[in-house]
Amino acid sequence: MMTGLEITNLKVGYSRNEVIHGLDLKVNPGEKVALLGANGAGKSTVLRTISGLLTPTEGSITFNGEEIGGSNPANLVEMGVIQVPEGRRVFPGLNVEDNLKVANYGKSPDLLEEGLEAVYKKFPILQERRKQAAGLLSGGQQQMLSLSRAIIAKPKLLLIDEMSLGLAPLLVKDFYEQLADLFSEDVTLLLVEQNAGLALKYCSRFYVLRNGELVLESNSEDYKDNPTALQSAYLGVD
Amino acid sequence: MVDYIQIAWQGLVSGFAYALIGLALVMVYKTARILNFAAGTMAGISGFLAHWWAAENDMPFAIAIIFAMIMTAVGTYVIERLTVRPLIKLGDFLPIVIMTLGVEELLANVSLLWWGGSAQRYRVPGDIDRINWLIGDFRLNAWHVVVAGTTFVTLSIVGYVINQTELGLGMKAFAEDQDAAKLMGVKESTVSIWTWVLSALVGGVTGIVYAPVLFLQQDYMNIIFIKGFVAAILGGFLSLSGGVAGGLLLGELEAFTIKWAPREFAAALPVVIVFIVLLIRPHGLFTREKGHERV
Amino acid sequence: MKSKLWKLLAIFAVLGLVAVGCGDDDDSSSSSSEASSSEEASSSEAAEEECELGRGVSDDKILFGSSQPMTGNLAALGEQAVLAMEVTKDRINEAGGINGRMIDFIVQDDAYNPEKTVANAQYFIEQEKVFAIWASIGSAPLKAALPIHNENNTLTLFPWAQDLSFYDVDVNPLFFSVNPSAYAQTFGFGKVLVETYGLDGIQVGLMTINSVDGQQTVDGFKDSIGGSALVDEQTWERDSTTYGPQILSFIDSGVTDVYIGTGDTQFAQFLLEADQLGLDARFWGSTGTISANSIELAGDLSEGAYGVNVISSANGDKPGLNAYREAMFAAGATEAQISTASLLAYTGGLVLEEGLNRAGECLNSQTLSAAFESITDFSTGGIMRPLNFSSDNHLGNNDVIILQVQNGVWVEVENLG
Repeated sequence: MMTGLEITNLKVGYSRNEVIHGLDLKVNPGEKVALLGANGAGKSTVLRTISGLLTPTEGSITFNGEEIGGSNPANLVEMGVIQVPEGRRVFPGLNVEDNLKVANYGKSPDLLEEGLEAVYKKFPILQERRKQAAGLLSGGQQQMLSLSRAIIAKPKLLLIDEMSLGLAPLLVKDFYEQLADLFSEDVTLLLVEQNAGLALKYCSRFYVLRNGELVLESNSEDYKDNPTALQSAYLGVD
Repeated sequence: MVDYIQIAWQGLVSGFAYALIGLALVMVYKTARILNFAAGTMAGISGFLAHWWAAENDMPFAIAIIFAMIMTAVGTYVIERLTVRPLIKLGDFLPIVIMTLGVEELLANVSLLWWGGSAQRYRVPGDIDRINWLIGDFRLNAWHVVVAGTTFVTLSIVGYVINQTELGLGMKAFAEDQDAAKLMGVKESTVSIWTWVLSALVGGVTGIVYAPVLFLQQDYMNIIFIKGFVAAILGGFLSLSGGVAGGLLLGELEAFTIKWAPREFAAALPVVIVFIVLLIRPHGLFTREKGHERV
Repeated sequence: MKSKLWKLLAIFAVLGLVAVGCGDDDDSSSSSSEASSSEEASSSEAAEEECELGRGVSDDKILFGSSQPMTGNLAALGEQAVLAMEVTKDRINEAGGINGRMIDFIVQDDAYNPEKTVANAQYFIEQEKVFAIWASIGSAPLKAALPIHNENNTLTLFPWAQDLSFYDVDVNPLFFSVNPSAYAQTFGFGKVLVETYGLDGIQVGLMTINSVDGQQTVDGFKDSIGGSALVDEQTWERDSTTYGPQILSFIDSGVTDVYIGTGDTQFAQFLLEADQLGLDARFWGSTGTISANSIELAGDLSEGAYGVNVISSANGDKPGLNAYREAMFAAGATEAQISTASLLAYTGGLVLEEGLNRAGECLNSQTLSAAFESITDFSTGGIMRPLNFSSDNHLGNNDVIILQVQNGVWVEVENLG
């Protein structure tokens, strides 16, 4: 049963601090959706919860009809729930190829061969530097590596957290333009972004989160030419 | 001149023990961010087990060691599941460290009840620990050769596991960035348990090969544990090869300072040197300052 | 030498004055030593007539107090010492007591805790009004309690404690012991070495723990044979894992004899490593190294090694030891209680009995003290070397017993060399 990602009344937090206060969100199979909001709105917390790094205190998360809230991250990876984390989070001490190998963890080496080939075709610079420590790569190259790990992991549900963080705007634009090319059309995508302009270009629908609560849900079309309205939704100023 | 070679060799023979225990400590700390205070006592129990199988159950020497290692692995598996695992979820550093102290206390008492408090001799085939060769002016003990060989083989195996296997890759990824590793599908529980087992096996090997050198005694590996700890600090506590190098360096420092330092100072000097090293390089001798260790 | 003579005179002077009674302080402070010693003869006559019995001494009983670890991890030692005290008490009392007085004692537990030892001392003196403190165990506890004994003119008799400061007769004039300090042990050992091999024939290396005790060990040896024969001093720490570097240094120094002040396990490891590195010397282990376990661990390498002890092995075959074991077993001792702890307390009991006999009818701290000081060449039946006390030496046992590993057992050696 392909129902995509469905989040109902999600509450989650760190220790006794609730950060998300009852979120409802839905991403249909193959749909590209953005989760927008200011810094500290709780966007990353939502992604970390979907990926299993955090356990919901209440509510449910289902993917294709299966409850995944509180699952082990490793099991979710096996199901195809893949996250490209905020800040790229490459393993700085491991070389490029080992970084990519980790993305194939627990899967057959044949799949890795296939994946490496595909990745190196798309980002030849990574092949060139495959024996270099990932920590020595430039920010852009690290983002390539981070995306490449997701490619190798063969996502069904792809979660991308704040690709624009710490990268030059031109570079970010590049990556967004490549996204469609990097992942197949039927990958379900939930994208977290501060930079609304970029996200709306790529996603058909979006949600805006403020202080852990949903304040806006809309089609991208409606706001493409009205960034100021979005701005006020972010910050809660009218 | 040969005297210096002899001193250097004596330093190495001690240094191997510090290096191996240092490695065992760093392994667990690096991957799981846990200081295992039970490492010394666990290693000592491996030595006792090998002795027990051989001397009290008439098992051939090598088989007894294999049995001891299997028991070490199984025992560590159980310890990790029962004590460490439930606390990892809480995510706090201190409770786990205190738990390892509790495990240490427990194991020390079990060892005391089982084998008693007095020192025992660990017999090796042909009593080769009592055979010494004279090569020119250089004197070489046969068992020390075994110790050196075992150290080399152990380090090679650990090196292979870390660098050539998927488990090793997972351990490294986990050490670099736990969350990112989890998001790549590296299972925390698997990595944790195998890291503990591998670390305990390294410690167990050390406990066994040093039993003829130090004699089996309830706490005979605890001093080695302390030295291994110093070695790990010297190596920066996050570098496996740093821990090994730190151990060898500490062994040499001890060997050479005793001869030339004043009487009251000799035994303390290695610690003083470590102290000075840490003042100058707080992150240890063998690790770079970490820029992106934690994001 | 001169200062010792003065000390001697001073002690006589003090003794004389005390015997006279404490009434005439003004005169005594100005009286010359000659005057006081001439006074002594008359004062002892006077004492016979008007004797003041010590606290805790009655016409038919003498009461002692003993602070012991009866709980905690040293409780076994306390039990052993108390059993040896019972044996002593029964022996004396069954023979009719001393001058018609039966002896008795009270034990208080201190769990080896100095604070409790101090409280016990106050209890003994103030509540129970004991005559003397007898056979207590532990250097640290005793060190805390000793000032209280001294202040209250109370004898401290034959404890198992060996801090060097205890034996200073100026500070602790009422302290008597048969258990030498680490200092006295190596002092005695030095004498044996020189007597046996001659000062020119030895080059000695010392291996001691890096602590105050270790320093006293070194000092005792130096004071005994002088610095020339001592060619190498090495230390070890509780966290030492090898003695190889020290052994290499001994080889370098060309030592003929090495004194190893360690426990039995470390001693065995030392012998092992000495063999590995080719140290060719006579090995002398301290008291702590003498055990069956050191032989078990070192195996053949221990053969011929010496042990320097202050007391014979509790299981040895000597008249005094046989009598000790017989009495202990008769009192219900187990094999494990045949130990250094009970043997020391037992031996102290032999000296106590002798002192009480010598002190005579008029028993108080001063007469008993003088009686102990008069004991010389006292035989313990081979438990220790003959004991000798004097006014400036309250440690009766100043000679060591040398043992050697022969055919896998420690054996006492009568004649070295």
